[in-house]
Amino acid sequence: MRSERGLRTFGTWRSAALATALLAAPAGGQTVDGALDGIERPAAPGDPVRTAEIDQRTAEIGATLRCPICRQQSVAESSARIAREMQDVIRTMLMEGRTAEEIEAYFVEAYGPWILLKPRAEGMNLIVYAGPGLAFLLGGFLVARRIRRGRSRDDEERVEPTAPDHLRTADRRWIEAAIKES
Amino acid sequence: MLSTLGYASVIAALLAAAVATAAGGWAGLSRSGGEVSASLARRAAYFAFFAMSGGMLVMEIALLTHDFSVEYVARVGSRETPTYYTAISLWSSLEGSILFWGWILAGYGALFAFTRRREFGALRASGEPLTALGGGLAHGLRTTPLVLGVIGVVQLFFFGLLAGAANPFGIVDPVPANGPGPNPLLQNHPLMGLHPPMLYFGFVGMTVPFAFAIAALLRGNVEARWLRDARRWMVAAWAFLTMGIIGGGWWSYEVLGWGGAWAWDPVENASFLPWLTATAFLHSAMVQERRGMLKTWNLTLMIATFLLTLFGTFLTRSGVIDSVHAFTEGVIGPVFLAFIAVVAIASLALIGWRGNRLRAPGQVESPASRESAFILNNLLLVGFTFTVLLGTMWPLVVEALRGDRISVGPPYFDQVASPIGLALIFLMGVGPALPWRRAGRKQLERSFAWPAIVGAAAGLGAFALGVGYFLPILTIAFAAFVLTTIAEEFRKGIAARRRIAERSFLGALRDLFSRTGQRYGGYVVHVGVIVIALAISVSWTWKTEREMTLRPGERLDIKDYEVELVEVWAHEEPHRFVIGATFAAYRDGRGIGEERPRINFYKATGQNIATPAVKSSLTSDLYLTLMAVDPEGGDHATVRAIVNPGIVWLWIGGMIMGVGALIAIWPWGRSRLRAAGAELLADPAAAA
Repeated sequence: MRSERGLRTFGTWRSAALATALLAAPAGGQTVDGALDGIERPAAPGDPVRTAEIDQRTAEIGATLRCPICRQQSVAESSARIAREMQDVIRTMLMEGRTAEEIEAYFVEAYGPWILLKPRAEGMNLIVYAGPGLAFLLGGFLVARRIRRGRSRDDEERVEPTAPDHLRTADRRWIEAAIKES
Repeated sequence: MLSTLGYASVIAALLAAAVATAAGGWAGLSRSGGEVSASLARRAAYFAFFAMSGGMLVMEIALLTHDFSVEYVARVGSRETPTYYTAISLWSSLEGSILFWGWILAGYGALFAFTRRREFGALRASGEPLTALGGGLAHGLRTTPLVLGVIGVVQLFFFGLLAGAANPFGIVDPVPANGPGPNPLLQNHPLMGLHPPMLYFGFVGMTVPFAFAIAALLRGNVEARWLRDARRWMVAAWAFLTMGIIGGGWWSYEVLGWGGAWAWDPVENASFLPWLTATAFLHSAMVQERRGMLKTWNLTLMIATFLLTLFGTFLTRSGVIDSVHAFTEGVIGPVFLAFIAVVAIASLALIGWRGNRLRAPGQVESPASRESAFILNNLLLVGFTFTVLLGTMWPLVVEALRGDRISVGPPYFDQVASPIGLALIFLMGVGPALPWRRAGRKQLERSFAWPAIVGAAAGLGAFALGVGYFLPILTIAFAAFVLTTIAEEFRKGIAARRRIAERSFLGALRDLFSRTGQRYGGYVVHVGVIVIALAISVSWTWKTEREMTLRPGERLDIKDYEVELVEVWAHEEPHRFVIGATFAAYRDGRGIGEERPRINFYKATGQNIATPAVKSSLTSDLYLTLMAVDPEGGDHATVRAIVNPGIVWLWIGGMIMGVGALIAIWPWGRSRLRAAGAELLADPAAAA
C-alpha cells in the first residue's frame, strides 16, 4: 500500500530531489552523494564481463585509493558517483591487463599523491614509517635499562613495599568518626 | 527570555567555578586553617552543577518548543525534525555540545564532592581544626578541596567558552519561522542518542584523574588511598570512553553504509588516543599500588590522557582536519589550542618541580615478573599512542612544511596497528600468570605449560581447518593462550576461596569480584578484548562483497545468502524523502525475512544518506546498501551486499568490557569498607 502511494508521488518530487542532489554533490562527507546517480546511469544487470576475480582485484585496488570528495573513505567503500566512476576505470584497466602499479601511477598522475590512502615510503614520508619503529626501539632501550639496573642492585638492597606508618591518635579518631557516620 | 535565563545560568556556573577554584586552592595549599574554604569549595561544586543543569534544561526547553529566537535552536532546530532527534540535537553542533560538556564537567565535580562528603562530615565531627590531624589523613583532607579546585580551573575554561566564544544562548532577531534541522547524519539513527553522550562522559571524566594528578603534584605527595581513588575514577571514565568508541563503531556500521566500523578517521583516532594512555595508566597504577614504583610516570599518563581528550576535542571542533566529525567546526580552535598549551606547560613544569619528591625506592627485580609485563604493556600502549598520533598528524605536518597534500589512511594504520595489537594480546596472556617481583623457572613452566599448549593447539587446529591466513591464525592462537591463562586464574582464585572461606562455587566467584574486583573485573575486560580481537580478525579476513543491479524477482547470491528484489518504493516524511527497496533474504535456501535498505533525502540540507539494512546473526551479518534505483519505471535497483562474518561479536565484546569495568568499580557494599576500617584500627600492619 505504502509503496504504491510512494511510487505515485515518486515522479513529482524525483526531479527536484535529483536537481538538489546534483547541486549538493561536492559538499561531500560520508554522505552518499550521487546515490541517486543510478537514475541517470542505466545499469546493466548481470554484466557478463564482470568476473568475480576482476571484482575482487578492483576492490583491493579501490581500497588503497581515496574517494576524492569523501572523508577518509576509500574508492571501494564509497558510493559517491566519482568513486564509482573511478572503480569503473580500475576495472577497465584491469580488464585491459594493466598492473596494480600502473593503475596506482595513473591515479597519482591525475590527483597527486594525496589520492593514496597509504603514502609512498619515500622522502619525508619515511618518517611516518620509521617513526613508530624508532619510538619502540628507544622506549624498549629505556625499559630494558631500567629493568637491568634494578637487577644489578638487587643484591645490595632489597626494598620491601612500604608499610604505612602506624596510625596516630587523631587519625584513629578520624577513622572511627568516618565509620560511625557510614 | 529563555536566552537570558540560559545565559544567566552559565554566568552563575562560571562564578561558582571561580569560587571553587579559589576556595579549593586555599584549603588545599595553605598551611593553616582551611576548614571554611574546604566546605565552600564543596558547596561551589554543587552549585555549579545546579546552575549548569538549569542551563541545560533551558536549552532543552528552547529546542523542544522550537524557540528560534535562541541562536543555537535557529541553527540546529526545525519543526519537522522528530522529537527524539530534536532533543538530542543538543550535541549536534558546537555550542550545544560544549554546553553538554560543561554540564557533565559540573556533574563530575559535584559527584566527586559528594563521594567525599563523609570526609567533610568527619572533619566536623572530630571538632578539630585541620592542622591538628597528622600524617596521611590530614593530607587526604587537604587533597579533596584541592582536587575540587583543579576541576574548578577546567570548569572556568569551559564555562568561560560558553559565556564567550561558544555562547549557545545568543539572540536572533528577527526570529526565523523555522530552522534547517540538525546535520542529516546525526538524525539518521537512534544510536546518535547514545554514542556521543558515552564519549562525552568518558572524555570529561578524565578531568577527575587529571585533577588528582595536579593536586598530588602541588602537594608533593602521593598516598595509597589517593591512587586507589584516582584509579576508580579513571576506570569509570575509561569504561564510558570504551562504550563511546564501540558505540561509534556500531553507529558507523549501521549508518555509513560501507560495511565497516572503524575507518581511522582523524577524530576516531582522537578518541582512541586518550583511551590508549588511560589503559596504560590502569595497568601501571597496579605497579605503583603493589611496588610503589612509577609514581611520576603514572601522573604523567593521567595528565597526558586529559591533554589528549582536549586535543581530540580541538581536532573535532576546530576544523583543522577534514573528518566525518567536522560538522561542529567553529572559531574556538585557537582558544582551545591556547588552553592545551597552558595545561601542558604548567603540568610539565609541575612534574619537573615536584617529580623528584615522588621518586620511589622500588626496583624491577627480574624481567620475568608481573611488573615487567606491565612496563612492557605501557611501552606498547604508549608506542601505539605515538604511532596513531604520528599518522593522524602527518598530513598536517607535510602540508605545513612542504605544502604538499598527502593522505594517511586505513591501509597505513591497519599495517602498523596489527603487530602492536597482537603483541598487546600476547602480553595479556603473560602478565596475569607472572608473579610480582620474580618468577622462578619451575613457576614459569607451571604457569605457562597449559596456556602455551592450548594456544598452539588452537593455532594448528585453525590451520588444519583451512584458515589460510597468517593474521587470523596468530590471533586465534594468542586468543586461546590468553583465555586459558584467564580461566586458570579464575580456577585458582575460586578454589582458594572455597578452601579458605568454604564458599559455594558461585559464592566464591562473587567473593573474587567483590574482594578483588579490580583484578578479576580486569580479567573480564580482557575476555571482552579477546572477543573483539577475534571479531576484527575474522570479519576482516572473510568479508565478502558483491554488487549487482536487480529487477524484481532476480536474485543475487553471496556466500550462503541469497537476496531477491521484491520492489522499489518511495515515500515522503515531514523532513525527508525516502527511496527504498525491499529484498527478500534467504540463508541456505530458507527465508530469513525482508530487508529494506533506503536512501534518505533530507529536504532542508539537500543531502542524501544511504541507510543500510543489516541482518545480524551470531555467525555473520548480511549487510545491504542501496546504491541506486532505476529512474524510469522505478522497478530495478542496484544493491551492494556484504557478508560480514562474526561482526556481532565486536559489540558483544564491547559489552563484556563494560561489564568487567563495572565489576571493577562496583561499590560492593559498605560492609567491606567497614571491615577494612576495623581491620586497620585493630592492626595497622595488616593494612600492608
